Formats: sequence, structure tokens, C-alpha cells
Amino acid sequence: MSEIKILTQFSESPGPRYCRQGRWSGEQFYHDILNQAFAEAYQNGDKLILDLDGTDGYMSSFLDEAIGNLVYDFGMQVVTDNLIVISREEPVWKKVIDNEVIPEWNKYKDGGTTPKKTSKKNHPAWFRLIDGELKKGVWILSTT
Amino acid sequence: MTVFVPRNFELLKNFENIFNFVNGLVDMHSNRKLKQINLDMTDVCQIDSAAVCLLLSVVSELTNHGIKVVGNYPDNKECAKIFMESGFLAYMKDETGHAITLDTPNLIVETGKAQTRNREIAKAIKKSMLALTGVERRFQPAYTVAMEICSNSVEHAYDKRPKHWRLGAYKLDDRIAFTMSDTGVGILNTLYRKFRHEIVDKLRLRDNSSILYRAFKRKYGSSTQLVNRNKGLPCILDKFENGYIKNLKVLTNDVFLDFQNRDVSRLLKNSFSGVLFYWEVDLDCLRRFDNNVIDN
Repeated sequence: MSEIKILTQFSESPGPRYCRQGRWSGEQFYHDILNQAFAEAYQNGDKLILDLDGTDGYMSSFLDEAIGNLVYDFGMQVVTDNLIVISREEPVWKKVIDNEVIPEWNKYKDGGTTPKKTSKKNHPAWFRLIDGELKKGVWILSTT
Repeated sequence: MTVFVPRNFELLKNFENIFNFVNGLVDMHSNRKLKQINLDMTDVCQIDSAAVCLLLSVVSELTNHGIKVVGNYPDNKECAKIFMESGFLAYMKDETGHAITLDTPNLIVETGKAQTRNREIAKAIKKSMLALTGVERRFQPAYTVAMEICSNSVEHAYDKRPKHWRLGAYKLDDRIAFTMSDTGVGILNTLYRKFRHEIVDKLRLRDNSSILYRAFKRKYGSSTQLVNRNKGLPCILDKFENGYIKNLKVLTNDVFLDFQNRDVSRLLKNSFSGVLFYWEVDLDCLRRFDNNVIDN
């Protein structure tokens, strides 16, 4: 299984939802790390472990944006089947992700709403699962 | 112009009068001829850290409008000590226009503008835990609460005005008092703007206090396109309900919401354009949190 530890691979002090709101945002984490790692794990038939422990803490929208975009790009079932969240220090985050973030982003996607991208430059091409096939593209342009 | 700060400057006990004073002070920005305000605190004989934090937010607002604010100490020694330890003076200028520098070990004040400042907030919380326990440590629930409020300030609080928010942490006897404030549009105005349809259609008979409380219970937003949003206030409530923070109070627009004792929550006569969150952390909060960590 592959593993991402936010403390060592991203930031000790995870930030807000969007890049425009502050450093180390959920949007940045998704595009810098999570999308690629999840796509690789999926391609290899692996599950991806996401370890939240050891940081200064989280705000809900960081996790919402990061995991939510995963649901948007890969679909709820694939994320549910292939992502394992570890949050021993704050078990509440696992509940929030499982019971709120994943189903709500599924509904959000079905409603035809597009996630915002707020980095100063467009994010580099990222993976999306389309008809069972991983494709890479700049699917949404940044609007700061 | 000289402005006299009220003698009783305890926000948590005297918020009606304090808001009346603060509103008058903020309104001075519309006087285009006004270049300087002298805050006379000589007669202040009661004060709390929440009032100091709010006053600093107002000073920032006035400064953003090009008005210089200078001040003095209260004569009352206890109040003067609180002022000094609160770090208030570090954000003020003396009569010659120089910044006042003071080393105040108990005091952690962080400020920000258009963005959250995660690292600085995390450092402030660790430093406050050092003051509480003698050991610098993380306390994730306090970080979550501070970041949720800060992010709301950055995202919603200011319409076409320079943004600013402020976090104050003050050591009381056996606990840390946190205050976070901004002088934006207030939570209720944001709720009305985002969910007017839901609030007006379904909740015609509710007052603003109930509407605000329901936002903490995540009762709005399910019928909007932003179905995934609005987890911030419920997260703050979750930390309170689990006992990780105590004595949570919110003052915004015309509402005072006291989560510890909901019976004293009420509507304010003097509406306040902005937000003030107050909460406390003591050793019991840390114990509860540590006991809830799942062992490997």
C-alpha cells in the first residue's frame, strides 16, 4: 500500500480551503500531492493510506477541498474503495470525511457544480478517471 | 480628537455599552478631516482581554482609513497591567509616533490581513500551551477553532474593504482565554447573503439568535449548490461539545450567543458589525482531548 503523511510530505500547519486564502491549502495539497499519489496507487491496484496525524490540526475546509476534489475527479466509489484515512489523534476527521465530505461532494458533482481553482497560475495537468481510464489534463482553469 | 474609553471596559460583562462605544469609534472613519484619535484610558478601572482584542480590531480598521490612533495607560494599576500584558501597546504608537515595544511573556497576539497565517496561529497556540502547562505542545482543537474563524474573516467578512483579523490569547489563573475578532460584516449578514431563501422562507418566526445557533448546527446550505460547505461553525461547536474548549461565546451583529449558558444568550440593543469569538482552554480540556486519542 502507498502512504501519504501530511506532516512530513506537506505541512506541519495545514491551512485553509483555497490557495488564495493562505498557505498550505487543501487545494494546494490536492494538486501537489494527493491527486498524483492516488492515481498512481489506483494504477498499481493499491490502496492509498492518508495519515492525518502529527500536524498542528486541521480546519474542516482543508480536508473538504482535498478529499472532495478526489471524489470529483475519481468518483465516490473509487475513493471509498481505495482511500484509507488514518486519524488517531482526532478521530472526528475520519467521521467527517466518511459521512460528510465524500457523500456531499458526490452530490455536488451530480449537481453539475465545478470546483474552484484559485492558484495564481493554472495547476499543472492532473489526473481524472473517465470511463475507467486515467486521463491527465488541466480540467479547470484558475480564477483568483 | 480625544475619545474616552469607558470605565467599565469588560466586554464579556458589559457588551452593550462596549459595542455602543466601539460603534461610535468605528464610525469616526467617515470623518474625512480626522487624522488622529487619542484614546484616553486614564479612567478605565475594569477590563478584560476580549475588550482589548476588539479595540485592537477597531484600531486596525481606523488605521486602514488613514487615521492614526494613539493612547495612554489606565491609572488603575491592575488594568494597566492587563493592557501591557495583552500586547495592546505593541500595536499603538506613542505621542511621538514611535511604536511601543514591550516584552510580555504571557501574551500572544497574532494578526492577519487577507490570508490565514497558519504557522503563526500554530505558534501562538503552542506558546499559550506553554503558559498553561509549562510545556510547549500542540493543541489541535484550538488550532481548528482559530483557523475556522480566521478563514471566515478572510473569505466572508469584508466587502471591498481591507481585511484584518486578530487572535489574542491571554493567561488567566488556570486557563487561557482566546479572543478572535474582526470588524467585517458579521456572521448573520453572511448567512443572510448566502442562504436568504432558506432563512426567510423556513424560519420566518425565528430570531437572529436562533438563526445563528442553527448555523452552528449546520442547518443551512443543504438546498444550495454549495452542499459541501458550512462545516466550519459546526466544527467549532463540536470542539465545545466534546469539552476541548470551554466558555464559548460569540458576539456578532445583534446577537450574543453564550454556548455554556444558552439562557443568557440574547439580542443586543447596539448591533456590532463584525465578529468576536471568545473561548477558554484549561487542563481539563487537554486531558479530555488526550484521552480521546486512539492508541496504536
